[in-house]
Amino acid sequence: MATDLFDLAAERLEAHTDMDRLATRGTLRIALKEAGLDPHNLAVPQLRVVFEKLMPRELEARGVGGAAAVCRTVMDEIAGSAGAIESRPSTSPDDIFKRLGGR
Amino acid sequence: METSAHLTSIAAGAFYLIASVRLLSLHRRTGERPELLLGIYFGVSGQWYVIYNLPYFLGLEELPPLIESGVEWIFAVGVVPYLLFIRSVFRPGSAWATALLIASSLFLLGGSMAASLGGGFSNSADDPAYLVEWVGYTLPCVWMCGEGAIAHAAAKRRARIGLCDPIVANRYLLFACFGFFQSAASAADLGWAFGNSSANASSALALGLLGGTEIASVAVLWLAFFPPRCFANWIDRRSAIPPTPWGE
Repeated sequence: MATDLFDLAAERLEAHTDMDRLATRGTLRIALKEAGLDPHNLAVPQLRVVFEKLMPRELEARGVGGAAAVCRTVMDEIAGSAGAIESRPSTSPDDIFKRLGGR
Repeated sequence: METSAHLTSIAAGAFYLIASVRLLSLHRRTGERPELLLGIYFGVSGQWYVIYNLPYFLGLEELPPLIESGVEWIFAVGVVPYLLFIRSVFRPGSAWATALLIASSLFLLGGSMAASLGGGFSNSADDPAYLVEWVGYTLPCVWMCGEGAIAHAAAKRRARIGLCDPIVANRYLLFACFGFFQSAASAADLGWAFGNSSANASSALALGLLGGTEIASVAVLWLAFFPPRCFANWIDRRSAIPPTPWGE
């Protein structure tokens, strides 16, 4: 049972590809690192952008067919079940630094 | 040289006080802790700069010992909120960050206590109390520099895919620069302290470096807290952001 968004995304990705647990988690970590995101401090909208813009390329590079469709399916499933998952705190450093400069 | 260094410090102190008022009024609106912690820190820094440099213009040799002790103690205690800010924003729940916060606070308060119980506060490298307190207020400057740089690197990547406002990403860099300039100011302060203890020629260089780093610190904070429209537009223009579902 997934305990955070990262676990849930990796779990769903594993279910829709031929990759094993280690490979899906590793691929997801690489995409999140490229996006400048902390795997255990994620929000659904952030994950959606990663699955739209970065994951298809990462999956194609690992020989996954129909990568864009897989990403859409995974994201739809995450959006449907993410309510029960703990999301990132509402006061992220970005929110704080945005307030500090009045923007 | 000395007059301009004192003037620069007073101007920097006035700016820190203005930044403090801005942050504390932000806290009144939002009720959030980070702006309160930072507002307290800039408030005590501002009072320290202004009060410490005022005697030079009033023709006094130095501050009366009681006032000097009070100002130093307020500054030492006032750096703790800055440490709390760095830890709570960048490393919440981190054991090593908590240890660093406690260690730095102990250096600050221990140094102040030793100075109060000994011969009073001094600015000489011969005084162990000064050196202990120096470590206490230099650590958060170096820490802020490092955290700001790390956060900027990640925020730049987020900004490329539209997950971070470019001006927020830039603000991390400005805070990293502030940490760097304050670390350099601390190094200059130490150079000045060694100059005081051995009367060598490094004092003039230290004074120049102190003034320069203060001007640079104020400049980066001004861009962070009061970004002019042209600066914000320039940052935006440099970042081509594709549309994202972030606002959904």
